[in-house]
Amino acid sequence: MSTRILIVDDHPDIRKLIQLTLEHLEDAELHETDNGGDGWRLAQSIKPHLILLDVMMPGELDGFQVCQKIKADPALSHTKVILLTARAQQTDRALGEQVQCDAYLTKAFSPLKLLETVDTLLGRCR
Amino acid sequence: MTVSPAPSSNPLLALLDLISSALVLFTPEGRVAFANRAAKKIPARPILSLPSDPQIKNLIRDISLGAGQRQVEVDIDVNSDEGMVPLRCTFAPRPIAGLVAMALTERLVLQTPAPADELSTPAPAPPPRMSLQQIMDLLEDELMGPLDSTASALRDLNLLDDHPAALAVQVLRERLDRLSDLIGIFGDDVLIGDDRMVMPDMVRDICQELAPLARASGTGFVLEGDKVDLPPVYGSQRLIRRALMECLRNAIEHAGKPSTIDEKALVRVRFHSAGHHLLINIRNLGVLPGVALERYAHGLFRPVEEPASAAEEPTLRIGLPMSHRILQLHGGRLRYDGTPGEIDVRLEIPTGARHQDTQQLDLLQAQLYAQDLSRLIARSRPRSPT
Repeated sequence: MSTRILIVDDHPDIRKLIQLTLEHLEDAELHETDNGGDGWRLAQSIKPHLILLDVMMPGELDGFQVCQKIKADPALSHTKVILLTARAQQTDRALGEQVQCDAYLTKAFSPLKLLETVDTLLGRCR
Repeated sequence: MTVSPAPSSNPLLALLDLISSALVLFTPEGRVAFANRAAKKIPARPILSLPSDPQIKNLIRDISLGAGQRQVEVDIDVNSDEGMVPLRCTFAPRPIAGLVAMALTERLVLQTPAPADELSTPAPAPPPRMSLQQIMDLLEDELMGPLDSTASALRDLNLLDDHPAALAVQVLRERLDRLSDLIGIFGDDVLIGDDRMVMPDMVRDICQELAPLARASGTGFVLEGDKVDLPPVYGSQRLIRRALMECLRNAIEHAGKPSTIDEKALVRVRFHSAGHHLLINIRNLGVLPGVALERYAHGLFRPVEEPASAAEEPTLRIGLPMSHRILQLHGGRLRYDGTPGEIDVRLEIPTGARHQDTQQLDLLQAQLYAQDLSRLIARSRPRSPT
Protein backbone atom coordinates (compact mmCIF):
# COMPACT_ATOMS: atom_id res chain seq x y z
CA MET A 1 0.00 0.00 0.00
CA SER A 2 1.35 3.42 -0.86
CA THR A 3 2.08 6.11 1.69
CA ARG A 4 -0.12 9.17 1.22
CA ILE A 5 1.72 12.42 1.84
CA LEU A 6 0.11 15.84 1.67
CA ILE A 7 2.23 18.96 1.06
CA VAL A 8 0.66 22.28 2.08
CA ASP A 9 2.73 25.35 1.22
CA ASP A 10 1.89 28.57 -0.59
CA HIS A 11 5.30 28.71 -2.32
CA PRO A 12 5.32 26.57 -5.49
CA ASP A 13 9.14 26.38 -5.41
CA ILE A 14 9.09 24.84 -1.97
CA ARG A 15 6.34 22.40 -2.93
CA LYS A 16 8.42 21.37 -5.95
CA LEU A 17 11.52 20.95 -3.81
CA ILE A 18 9.65 18.81 -1.30
CA GLN A 19 8.30 16.72 -4.16
CA LEU A 20 11.79 16.26 -5.61
CA THR A 21 12.98 15.22 -2.17
CA LEU A 22 10.15 12.83 -1.43
CA GLU A 23 10.49 11.18 -4.82
CA HIS A 24 13.37 9.37 -3.17
CA LEU A 25 10.85 7.59 -0.92
CA GLU A 26 9.46 4.31 -2.10
CA ASP A 27 5.70 4.04 -2.70
CA ALA A 28 4.93 7.63 -1.87
CA GLU A 29 1.68 9.08 -3.20
CA LEU A 30 2.05 12.86 -3.13
CA HIS A 31 -0.76 15.39 -2.91
CA GLU A 32 -0.35 19.13 -2.65
CA THR A 33 -2.18 22.38 -2.10
CA ASP A 34 -1.26 26.01 -1.48
CA ASN A 35 -3.38 27.07 1.50
CA GLY A 36 -4.46 25.94 4.93
CA GLY A 37 -8.19 25.76 4.27
CA ASP A 38 -7.80 23.45 1.28
CA GLY A 39 -5.10 21.55 3.17
CA TRP A 40 -7.54 20.80 5.96
CA ARG A 41 -10.31 19.73 3.56
CA LEU A 42 -7.90 17.56 1.55
CA ALA A 43 -6.61 15.96 4.73
CA GLN A 44 -10.15 15.00 5.68
CA SER A 45 -10.79 13.41 2.31
CA ILE A 46 -7.53 11.58 1.57
CA LYS A 47 -6.56 10.84 5.19
CA PRO A 48 -2.83 11.12 4.60
CA HIS A 49 -0.23 9.25 6.60
CA LEU A 50 1.86 12.41 6.75
CA ILE A 51 1.36 16.12 6.20
CA LEU A 52 4.13 18.61 5.51
CA LEU A 53 2.65 21.89 6.57
CA ASP A 54 3.84 25.43 6.13
CA VAL A 55 2.79 27.84 8.90
CA MET A 56 2.39 31.24 7.30
CA MET A 57 -0.06 30.99 4.43
CA PRO A 58 -2.69 33.35 3.09
CA GLY A 59 -6.29 32.49 3.79
CA GLU A 60 -8.63 31.19 6.38
CA LEU A 61 -6.32 28.85 8.33
CA ASP A 62 -2.63 28.94 9.05
CA GLY A 63 -0.43 25.89 9.63
CA PHE A 64 -0.81 25.95 13.41
CA GLN A 65 -4.57 25.87 13.09
CA VAL A 66 -4.58 23.09 10.50
CA CYS A 67 -2.31 21.04 12.76
CA GLN A 68 -4.60 21.69 15.71
CA LYS A 69 -7.65 20.56 13.74
CA ILE A 70 -5.90 17.41 12.50
CA LYS A 71 -4.80 16.44 15.97
CA ALA A 72 -8.31 16.99 17.30
CA ASP A 73 -9.92 14.81 14.63
CA PRO A 74 -10.17 11.13 15.64
CA ALA A 75 -10.43 10.13 11.97
CA LEU A 76 -6.93 11.52 11.45
CA SER A 77 -5.36 10.10 14.59
CA HIS A 78 -2.79 8.19 12.51
CA THR A 79 -1.71 11.30 10.56
CA LYS A 80 1.72 12.66 11.40
CA VAL A 81 2.34 16.37 10.96
CA ILE A 82 5.63 18.07 10.17
CA LEU A 83 5.54 21.85 10.43
CA LEU A 84 7.96 23.24 7.89
CA THR A 85 8.34 26.95 8.36
CA ALA A 86 10.59 29.97 8.20
CA ARG A 87 9.46 30.91 11.71
CA ALA A 88 12.38 29.89 13.88
CA GLN A 89 11.63 31.75 17.11
CA GLN A 90 11.35 29.76 20.34
CA THR A 91 7.79 31.07 20.77
CA ASP A 92 6.85 29.60 17.40
CA ARG A 93 8.35 26.22 18.29
CA ALA A 94 6.43 26.35 21.56
CA LEU A 95 3.25 27.02 19.63
CA GLY A 96 4.09 24.05 17.40
CA GLU A 97 4.35 21.86 20.50
CA GLN A 98 1.12 23.31 21.79
CA VAL A 99 -0.72 22.21 18.65
CA GLN A 100 0.99 18.79 18.96
CA CYS A 101 2.97 18.72 15.74
CA ASP A 102 5.14 15.62 15.41
CA ALA A 103 8.18 17.50 14.09
CA TYR A 104 9.13 21.13 13.58
CA LEU A 105 11.62 21.90 10.82
CA THR A 106 12.75 25.39 9.85
CA LYS A 107 13.37 26.69 6.35
CA ALA A 108 15.81 26.60 4.68
CA PHE A 109 15.81 22.88 5.43
CA SER A 110 18.15 20.06 4.57
CA PRO A 111 16.34 17.62 2.24
CA LEU A 112 18.22 14.74 3.87
CA LYS A 113 17.10 15.85 7.30
CA LEU A 114 13.56 16.05 5.98
CA LEU A 115 13.77 12.51 4.58
CA GLU A 116 15.17 11.21 7.86
CA THR A 117 12.34 12.88 9.77
CA VAL A 118 9.76 11.44 7.37
CA ASP A 119 11.31 7.96 7.73
CA THR A 120 11.25 8.21 11.50
CA LEU A 121 7.67 9.39 11.68
CA LEU A 122 6.46 6.76 9.25
CA GLY A 123 8.29 4.07 11.21
CA ARG A 124 10.67 3.20 8.41
CA CYS A 125 14.27 2.25 9.16
CA ARG A 126 17.00 2.62 6.61
CA MET B 1 31.17 32.31 -22.94
CA THR B 2 28.21 29.99 -23.18
CA VAL B 3 25.10 29.87 -21.14
CA SER B 4 23.93 26.33 -20.92
CA PRO B 5 20.22 25.56 -20.89
CA ALA B 6 18.85 23.83 -17.83
CA PRO B 7 19.06 20.12 -18.55
CA SER B 8 15.89 18.58 -17.26
CA SER B 9 17.83 15.51 -16.16
CA ASN B 10 19.61 17.51 -13.49
CA PRO B 11 17.08 18.02 -10.69
CA LEU B 12 19.00 20.90 -9.10
CA LEU B 13 19.13 22.91 -12.32
CA ALA B 14 15.52 22.06 -13.06
CA LEU B 15 14.66 23.36 -9.63
CA LEU B 16 16.67 26.55 -10.07
CA ASP B 17 14.84 27.16 -13.33
CA LEU B 18 11.54 27.05 -11.48
CA ILE B 19 12.56 29.68 -8.95
CA SER B 20 11.09 33.10 -9.70
CA SER B 21 14.22 34.95 -8.56
CA ALA B 22 17.06 35.47 -11.05
CA LEU B 23 19.94 33.14 -10.16
CA VAL B 24 23.33 32.72 -11.85
CA LEU B 25 26.03 30.12 -11.14
CA PHE B 26 29.67 30.91 -11.94
CA THR B 27 32.63 28.60 -12.31
CA PRO B 28 35.64 29.46 -10.09
CA GLU B 29 37.24 30.99 -13.22
CA GLY B 30 34.35 33.46 -13.47
CA ARG B 31 32.47 31.97 -16.40
CA VAL B 32 28.69 31.67 -16.27
CA ALA B 33 27.94 27.97 -15.80
CA PHE B 34 24.21 28.36 -15.53
CA ALA B 35 21.60 31.12 -15.54
CA ASN B 36 18.04 30.29 -14.66
CA ARG B 37 15.04 31.35 -16.70
CA ALA B 38 14.39 34.47 -14.58
CA ALA B 39 18.00 35.64 -15.03
CA LYS B 40 17.81 35.23 -18.78
CA LYS B 41 14.69 37.37 -18.87
CA ILE B 42 16.39 40.48 -17.45
CA PRO B 43 16.37 42.93 -20.40
CA ALA B 44 19.94 44.23 -20.14
CA ARG B 45 21.32 40.68 -20.47
CA PRO B 46 23.63 41.11 -17.49
CA ILE B 47 24.79 37.51 -17.70
CA LEU B 48 26.77 38.51 -20.80
CA SER B 49 28.52 41.48 -19.27
CA LEU B 50 28.91 40.46 -15.61
CA PRO B 51 31.83 38.02 -16.08
CA SER B 52 34.02 40.85 -17.41
CA ASP B 53 33.36 43.12 -14.43
CA PRO B 54 36.59 43.14 -12.33
CA GLN B 55 34.70 43.53 -9.05
CA ILE B 56 32.51 40.52 -9.82
CA LYS B 57 35.53 38.51 -11.00
CA ASN B 58 37.42 39.17 -7.76
CA LEU B 59 34.42 38.27 -5.65
CA ILE B 60 33.90 34.99 -7.47
CA ARG B 61 37.56 34.13 -6.99
CA ASP B 62 37.44 34.97 -3.26
CA ILE B 63 34.28 32.93 -2.69
CA SER B 64 35.70 29.98 -4.66
CA LEU B 65 38.82 30.07 -2.49
CA GLY B 66 36.66 29.99 0.62
CA ALA B 67 37.45 33.56 1.60
CA GLY B 68 33.78 34.59 1.70
CA GLN B 69 32.45 34.84 5.23
CA ARG B 70 28.96 36.11 4.65
CA GLN B 71 26.56 37.14 1.92
CA VAL B 72 27.91 40.00 -0.22
CA GLU B 73 25.90 42.54 -2.18
CA VAL B 74 27.31 44.48 -5.12
CA ASP B 75 25.48 47.23 -7.00
CA ILE B 76 26.28 47.57 -10.69
CA ASP B 77 24.83 49.37 -13.70
CA VAL B 78 24.43 47.52 -16.99
CA ASN B 79 23.97 49.16 -20.38
CA SER B 80 20.88 48.30 -22.35
CA ASP B 81 19.00 49.74 -25.31
CA GLU B 82 16.80 51.66 -22.90
CA GLY B 83 19.78 53.09 -21.00
CA MET B 84 21.52 52.05 -17.80
CA VAL B 85 19.84 49.31 -15.75
CA PRO B 86 20.75 49.42 -12.07
CA LEU B 87 21.19 45.91 -10.64
CA ARG B 88 22.04 44.38 -7.30
CA CYS B 89 24.09 41.18 -7.21
CA THR B 90 23.81 39.11 -4.03
CA PHE B 91 26.43 36.39 -3.63
CA ALA B 92 26.07 33.30 -1.45
CA PRO B 93 29.01 33.14 0.96
CA ARG B 94 30.08 29.63 0.00
CA PRO B 95 30.24 27.76 -3.31
CA ILE B 96 27.42 25.34 -4.15
CA ALA B 97 28.76 22.12 -5.67
CA GLY B 98 31.91 24.03 -6.67
CA LEU B 99 29.97 26.88 -8.26
CA VAL B 100 29.48 30.40 -6.99
CA ALA B 101 25.81 31.36 -6.71
CA MET B 102 24.48 34.85 -7.25
CA ALA B 103 20.98 36.31 -7.10
CA LEU B 104 20.23 39.23 -9.37
CA THR B 105 17.63 41.91 -8.70
CA GLU B 106 16.82 45.21 -10.35
CA ARG B 107 17.64 48.08 -8.04
CA LEU B 108 15.28 50.95 -7.52
CA VAL B 109 17.00 54.31 -7.98
CA LEU B 110 15.32 57.61 -7.25
CA GLN B 111 16.48 60.14 -9.78
CA THR B 112 16.15 63.90 -9.54
CA PRO B 113 16.58 65.66 -12.88
CA ALA B 114 19.38 68.18 -12.72
CA PRO B 115 18.85 71.71 -14.08
CA ALA B 116 20.29 72.17 -17.58
CA ASP B 117 23.05 74.58 -16.52
CA GLU B 118 24.36 72.12 -13.96
CA LEU B 119 24.72 69.24 -16.35
CA SER B 120 28.27 70.09 -17.34
CA THR B 121 29.67 70.35 -13.81
CA PRO B 122 29.58 67.54 -11.28
CA ALA B 123 27.08 68.30 -8.55
CA PRO B 124 28.35 68.39 -4.99
CA ALA B 125 27.38 65.39 -2.90
CA PRO B 126 23.98 66.02 -1.32
CA PRO B 127 23.87 66.23 2.46
CA PRO B 128 22.61 63.04 4.10
CA ARG B 129 18.84 63.22 4.32
CA MET B 130 17.11 61.82 7.38
CA SER B 131 13.82 60.06 7.10
CA LEU B 132 10.91 61.15 9.26
CA GLN B 133 11.28 57.95 11.21
CA GLN B 134 14.93 58.68 11.93
CA ILE B 135 14.01 62.15 13.12
CA MET B 136 11.32 60.67 15.33
CA ASP B 137 13.74 58.13 16.77
CA LEU B 138 16.12 60.95 17.62
CA LEU B 139 13.31 62.90 19.22
CA GLU B 140 12.35 59.89 21.29
CA ASP B 141 15.94 59.45 22.41
CA GLU B 142 16.02 63.10 23.38
CA LEU B 143 12.76 63.13 25.30
CA MET B 144 12.56 59.70 26.90
CA GLY B 145 15.48 60.42 29.24
CA PRO B 146 13.98 63.60 30.73
CA LEU B 147 10.56 61.93 30.95
CA ASP B 148 11.98 58.96 32.84
CA SER B 149 13.86 61.35 35.15
CA THR B 150 10.67 63.27 35.83
CA ALA B 151 8.75 60.06 36.55
CA SER B 152 11.51 58.92 38.86
CA ALA B 153 11.57 62.29 40.67
CA LEU B 154 7.81 62.06 41.17
CA ARG B 155 8.18 58.57 42.62
CA ASP B 156 10.79 59.92 45.03
CA LEU B 157 8.22 62.43 46.21
CA ASN B 158 5.99 59.43 47.03
CA LEU B 159 3.25 60.62 44.75
CA LEU B 160 0.63 58.03 43.89
CA ASP B 161 0.32 56.79 40.32
CA ASP B 162 -2.96 58.64 39.91
CA HIS B 163 -1.52 61.95 41.09
CA PRO B 164 -2.08 64.57 38.35
CA ALA B 165 1.67 65.07 37.90
CA ALA B 166 2.30 61.33 37.50
CA LEU B 167 -0.63 61.05 35.11
CA ALA B 168 0.67 64.00 33.10
CA VAL B 169 4.03 62.26 32.63
CA GLN B 170 2.25 59.08 31.66
CA VAL B 171 0.14 60.94 29.11
CA LEU B 172 3.23 62.63 27.68
CA ARG B 173 4.92 59.28 27.28
CA GLU B 174 1.86 57.81 25.57
CA ARG B 175 1.60 60.78 23.23
CA LEU B 176 5.25 60.44 22.26
CA ASP B 177 4.75 56.77 21.62
CA ARG B 178 1.71 57.54 19.53
CA LEU B 179 3.51 60.22 17.57
CA SER B 180 6.23 57.70 16.83
CA ASP B 181 3.65 55.27 15.46
CA LEU B 182 2.03 58.06 13.48
CA ILE B 183 5.32 59.00 11.84
CA GLY B 184 6.02 55.32 11.33
CA ILE B 185 2.85 54.61 9.38
CA PHE B 186 2.89 57.71 7.22
CA GLY B 187 6.66 57.67 6.81
CA ASP B 188 8.67 56.55 3.83
CA ASP B 189 9.92 53.22 5.10
CA VAL B 190 7.08 51.35 6.75
CA LEU B 191 7.95 47.86 7.91
CA ILE B 192 5.04 45.59 8.61
CA GLY B 193 6.66 42.35 9.77
CA ASP B 194 4.99 39.00 10.27
CA ASP B 195 3.97 38.77 13.91
CA ARG B 196 1.22 36.23 14.47
CA MET B 197 -1.75 37.74 16.27
CA VAL B 198 -4.84 36.17 17.74
CA MET B 199 -7.19 39.12 17.80
CA PRO B 200 -9.52 38.25 20.70
CA ASP B 201 -6.50 37.81 22.98
CA MET B 202 -5.10 41.13 21.86
CA VAL B 203 -8.41 42.95 22.33
CA ARG B 204 -8.79 41.44 25.80
CA ASP B 205 -5.31 42.74 26.72
CA ILE B 206 -6.13 46.20 25.44
CA CYS B 207 -9.42 46.26 27.34
CA GLN B 208 -7.50 45.44 30.50
CA GLU B 209 -5.03 48.20 29.78
CA LEU B 210 -7.88 50.62 29.23
CA ALA B 211 -9.75 49.43 32.32
CA PRO B 212 -8.80 52.44 34.49
CA LEU B 213 -10.02 54.85 31.82
CA ALA B 214 -13.18 52.76 31.32
CA ARG B 215 -13.86 52.61 35.08
CA ALA B 216 -13.42 56.35 35.40
CA SER B 217 -16.08 56.95 32.76
CA GLY B 218 -18.40 54.16 33.91
CA THR B 219 -17.88 52.12 30.76
CA GLY B 220 -17.72 48.36 30.36
CA PHE B 221 -16.74 46.06 27.50
CA VAL B 222 -18.64 43.14 26.04
CA LEU B 223 -16.61 40.78 23.86
CA GLU B 224 -18.52 38.48 21.53
CA GLY B 225 -17.49 35.88 18.99
CA ASP B 226 -16.11 32.40 18.71
CA LYS B 227 -12.42 32.44 19.49
CA VAL B 228 -11.69 28.86 18.43
CA ASP B 229 -12.28 29.15 14.68
CA LEU B 230 -11.05 32.68 14.18
CA PRO B 231 -8.06 32.84 11.87
CA PRO B 232 -4.91 34.61 13.05
CA VAL B 233 -3.66 37.82 11.53
CA TYR B 234 -0.05 38.39 10.45
CA GLY B 235 1.62 41.79 10.44
CA SER B 236 2.92 44.35 12.88
CA GLN B 237 1.72 43.56 16.37
CA ARG B 238 2.64 47.04 17.52
CA LEU B 239 0.66 48.78 14.78
CA ILE B 240 -2.43 46.56 14.91
CA ARG B 241 -2.45 47.00 18.65
CA ARG B 242 -2.22 50.74 18.12
CA ALA B 243 -5.19 50.69 15.71
CA LEU B 244 -7.36 48.71 18.13
CA MET B 245 -6.26 50.84 21.04
CA GLU B 246 -7.27 54.02 19.21
CA CYS B 247 -10.69 52.63 18.27
CA LEU B 248 -11.43 51.30 21.75
CA ARG B 249 -10.21 54.47 23.45
CA ASN B 250 -12.40 56.45 21.10
CA ALA B 251 -15.34 54.24 22.02
CA ILE B 252 -14.78 54.80 25.74
CA GLU B 253 -14.38 58.53 25.38
CA HIS B 254 -17.67 58.75 23.49
CA ALA B 255 -19.57 56.20 25.51
CA GLY B 256 -21.63 58.75 27.36
CA LYS B 257 -21.79 59.40 31.07
CA PRO B 258 -24.01 57.24 33.25
CA SER B 259 -26.17 59.43 35.44
CA THR B 260 -26.78 56.83 38.15
CA ILE B 261 -24.60 54.20 39.74
CA ASP B 262 -26.80 51.42 38.28
CA GLU B 263 -26.21 52.54 34.73
CA LYS B 264 -23.26 51.58 32.61
CA ALA B 265 -22.09 52.69 29.21
CA LEU B 266 -21.27 49.60 27.17
CA VAL B 267 -18.90 49.06 24.27
CA ARG B 268 -19.43 45.84 22.37
CA VAL B 269 -16.62 44.20 20.41
CA ARG B 270 -17.69 41.40 18.10
CA PHE B 271 -15.40 39.17 16.05
CA HIS B 272 -16.18 37.02 13.09
CA SER B 273 -14.45 35.85 9.95
CA ALA B 274 -15.76 36.34 6.42
CA GLY B 275 -13.87 34.89 3.49
CA HIS B 276 -10.23 35.78 3.93
CA HIS B 277 -10.93 38.61 6.34
CA LEU B 278 -11.38 38.94 10.05
CA LEU B 279 -14.04 41.49 10.97
CA ILE B 280 -13.93 43.29 14.27
CA ASN B 281 -16.99 45.35 14.98
CA ILE B 282 -16.81 47.94 17.74
CA ARG B 283 -20.09 49.49 18.67
CA ASN B 284 -21.13 51.80 21.44
CA LEU B 285 -24.29 50.55 23.00
CA GLY B 286 -24.67 53.74 25.01
CA VAL B 287 -25.73 54.12 28.62
CA LEU B 288 -27.78 51.13 29.58
CA PRO B 289 -29.82 50.40 32.65
CA GLY B 290 -29.61 46.64 32.84
CA VAL B 291 -31.03 44.22 30.26
CA ALA B 292 -32.81 46.43 27.73
CA LEU B 293 -29.59 47.08 25.90
CA GLU B 294 -30.59 47.66 22.29
CA ARG B 295 -33.50 49.96 23.11
CA TYR B 296 -31.08 52.47 24.52
CA ALA B 297 -28.38 51.96 22.00
CA HIS B 298 -27.09 55.03 20.28
CA GLY B 299 -24.02 55.47 18.17
CA LEU B 300 -21.22 57.38 19.67
CA PHE B 301 -18.56 57.00 17.05
CA ARG B 302 -18.09 60.03 14.92
CA PRO B 303 -17.23 59.50 11.25
CA VAL B 304 -13.75 60.78 10.60
CA GLU B 305 -14.87 63.19 7.88
CA GLU B 306 -16.99 65.14 10.35
CA PRO B 307 -15.12 68.19 11.68
CA ALA B 308 -14.20 67.90 15.32
CA SER B 309 -15.67 70.36 17.73
CA ALA B 310 -13.38 72.59 19.77
CA ALA B 311 -14.35 70.84 22.99
CA GLU B 312 -13.18 67.44 21.77
CA GLU B 313 -9.92 65.81 22.66
CA PRO B 314 -7.37 66.52 19.94
CA THR B 315 -6.40 62.84 19.94
CA LEU B 316 -9.60 61.92 18.11
CA ARG B 317 -8.47 63.76 15.04
CA ILE B 318 -5.50 61.47 14.76
CA GLY B 319 -6.81 58.19 16.11
CA LEU B 320 -9.24 56.94 13.51
CA PRO B 321 -7.32 58.06 10.40
CA MET B 322 -4.27 56.47 12.00
CA SER B 323 -6.17 53.23 12.52
CA HIS B 324 -7.40 53.43 8.95
CA ARG B 325 -3.87 53.83 7.63
CA ILE B 326 -2.58 50.94 9.74
CA LEU B 327 -5.29 48.66 8.38
CA GLN B 328 -4.52 49.82 4.84
CA LEU B 329 -0.88 48.92 5.37
CA HIS B 330 -2.04 45.44 6.32
CA GLY B 331 -4.29 45.16 3.28
CA GLY B 332 -7.46 45.86 5.26
CA ARG B 333 -9.69 48.84 5.91
CA LEU B 334 -11.71 50.68 8.49
CA ARG B 335 -15.38 51.27 7.80
CA TYR B 336 -17.99 53.41 9.45
CA ASP B 337 -21.55 52.27 9.21
CA GLY B 338 -24.26 54.23 10.80
CA THR B 339 -27.71 55.52 10.99
CA PRO B 340 -28.55 58.58 13.07
CA GLY B 341 -27.93 57.63 16.64
CA GLU B 342 -26.29 54.31 15.83
CA ILE B 343 -22.87 54.32 14.32
CA ASP B 344 -20.27 51.64 14.58
CA VAL B 345 -16.75 51.02 13.40
CA ARG B 346 -15.72 47.90 11.54
CA LEU B 347 -12.13 46.82 11.16
CA GLU B 348 -11.45 44.43 8.30
CA ILE B 349 -8.09 42.68 8.39
CA PRO B 350 -6.92 40.04 5.91
CA THR B 351 -6.26 36.74 7.62
CA GLY B 352 -3.25 34.55 7.16
CA ALA B 353 0.16 35.66 6.01
CA ARG B 354 0.91 37.75 2.99
CA HIS B 355 3.08 36.19 0.30
CA GLN B 356 6.68 36.82 1.34
CA ASP B 357 9.68 37.70 -0.80
CA THR B 358 11.83 34.62 -0.34
CA GLN B 359 14.75 35.40 -2.59
CA GLN B 360 17.39 34.98 0.12
CA LEU B 361 15.70 31.87 1.43
CA ASP B 362 15.55 30.43 -2.11
CA LEU B 363 19.27 30.86 -2.47
CA LEU B 364 20.03 29.21 0.85
CA GLN B 365 17.55 26.44 0.09
CA ALA B 366 19.16 25.76 -3.28
CA GLN B 367 22.53 25.61 -1.51
CA LEU B 368 21.27 23.04 1.00
CA TYR B 369 19.67 21.00 -1.77
CA ALA B 370 22.92 20.98 -3.70
CA GLN B 371 24.81 19.82 -0.61
CA ASP B 372 22.44 16.89 -0.13
CA LEU B 373 21.96 16.06 -3.78
CA SER B 374 24.57 13.33 -4.20
CA ARG B 375 23.38 11.52 -1.08
CA LEU B 376 19.78 11.82 -2.22
CA ILE B 377 20.64 10.29 -5.57
CA ALA B 378 22.67 7.55 -3.89
CA ARG B 379 19.72 6.85 -1.65
CA SER B 380 17.29 6.30 -4.47
CA ARG B 381 19.71 4.30 -6.67
CA PRO B 382 18.74 0.62 -6.73
CA ARG B 383 21.20 -1.48 -4.80
CA SER B 384 23.12 -4.07 -6.81
CA PRO B 385 22.53 -7.68 -5.74
CA THR B 386 25.26 -9.08 -3.57
